[in-house]
Amino acid sequence: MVTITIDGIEYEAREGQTVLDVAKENNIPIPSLCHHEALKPWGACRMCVVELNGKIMASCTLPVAKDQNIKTKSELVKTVRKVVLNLLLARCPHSKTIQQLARLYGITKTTLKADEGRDNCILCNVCTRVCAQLGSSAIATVKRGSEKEIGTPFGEKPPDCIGCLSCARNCPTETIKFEETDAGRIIWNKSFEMAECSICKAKTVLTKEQVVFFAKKSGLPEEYFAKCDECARKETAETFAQLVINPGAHIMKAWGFTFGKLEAKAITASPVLPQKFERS
Amino acid sequence: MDHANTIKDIIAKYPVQRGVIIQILQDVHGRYNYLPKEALDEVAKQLSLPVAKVYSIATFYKAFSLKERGKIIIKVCKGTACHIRGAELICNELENILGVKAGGTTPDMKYTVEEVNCVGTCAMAPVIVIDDKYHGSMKPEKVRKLVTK
Amino acid sequence: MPITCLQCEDAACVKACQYNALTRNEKTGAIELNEKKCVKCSACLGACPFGNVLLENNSGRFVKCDLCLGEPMCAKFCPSKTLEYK
Repeated sequence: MVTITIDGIEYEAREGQTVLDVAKENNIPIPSLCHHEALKPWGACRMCVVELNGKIMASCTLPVAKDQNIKTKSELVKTVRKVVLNLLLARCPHSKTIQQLARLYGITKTTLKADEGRDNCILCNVCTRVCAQLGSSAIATVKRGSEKEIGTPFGEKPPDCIGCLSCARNCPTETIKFEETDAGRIIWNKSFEMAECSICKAKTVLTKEQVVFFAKKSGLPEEYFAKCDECARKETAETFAQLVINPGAHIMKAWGFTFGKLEAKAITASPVLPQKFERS
Repeated sequence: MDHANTIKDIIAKYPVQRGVIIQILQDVHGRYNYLPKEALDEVAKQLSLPVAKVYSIATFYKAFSLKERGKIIIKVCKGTACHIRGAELICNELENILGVKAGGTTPDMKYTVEEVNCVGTCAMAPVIVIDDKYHGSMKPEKVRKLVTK
Repeated sequence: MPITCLQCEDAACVKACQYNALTRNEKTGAIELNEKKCVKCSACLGACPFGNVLLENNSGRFVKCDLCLGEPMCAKFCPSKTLEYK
């Protein structure tokens, strides 16, 4: 444990935490765009800057250290954040997220030439990092400098995309577009068909590619994923009902478990029940 | 073209570690004079890397071209020194002679004109590099002598 | 018959999550979904063989029973005390 000071108040922090982690834990407001708790710190958006010994640092990549004296509301911090917002607003003048954030710092319009022809991407790389962590890495940054953008290989339909929509759902500026219907979805120009429930044949909420990918990644059987919620719950309810009506040993066997231990040949619905249940 | 074996041979020259991808791509680039899509797919496959990652690296460096290039590569330096001493005129002259803008290739696949940001010989500005041979103090007339269609 | 999360010992949802967003609360024994770490990839929802991870259509959030951090409200408010939490 180390003690750090943020805005004059001392906070306990664990080794390995970043200043932003500590601030979030203690409800100290620090704006950030490229930060996502599921991902490694990136330090791209520069919104989370704080002042340490008169210097400006990105708090998301700043590890806590003994006797740090962090300022989050100093004039220097405000100035730098304003510059960043001014630039971001020039890049994507129509982004609601950026507009809202800018308004908090008293900026309604960029002083620079607004780029009207661009989408709202701020190159925070949340999408590519989420995709990479999932293990599919279907999208990446393409080109560099002023031409840098998020794209698919060769600008074509991404072969590795499974249509999970994580990139779009986590985009801070909601730039990544997708279409969704009951039968399928389209993202990055690639069309996906939804997987069918193995029982009722209705469409599930996962694409066929997601079913295969998730099953492989988690080591769980594909049948788990290719089943709709309703059918899964119905199946469980029926099993429970039978347990109540006839709590015989054959039911236990049908469930594929002996008390406390899962048998190797697990059938589709084979839980290892919680300890509470086991004891009864 | 049998990309698979060509690339297998190239990859075999390097240790299996992070960071060799650029050397591998350079060798592939040297072999084909550009980076064909099929070759990049093959590199990704053989290195078990996502295609997106390989494509990202290939588009990041100016030294890599994803379009097929001509037999002779003409690089026009557009660094600060060359720019001030008239790189723009050289570019225009090349466009006059060959009919292609920077980044383009003549239809007969003989010449490719590329803009580069600095070749490190500012004292000789403006500089053009034809097939790795440096030509300094360029003037439109000199370009005409060097490059004939 | 309403079915809620069984808080499986060897839970499929936890195995499916690539972001460590699902962890067991040692105090309550419940598997809790850390929304801040969730990237909404739907893996847990698909993995649960009992259909007990749900996607809230209005908010786009993924939800599962976390035993209300040890004090399940369903049991607390059950008028006939049919639901009990022991």
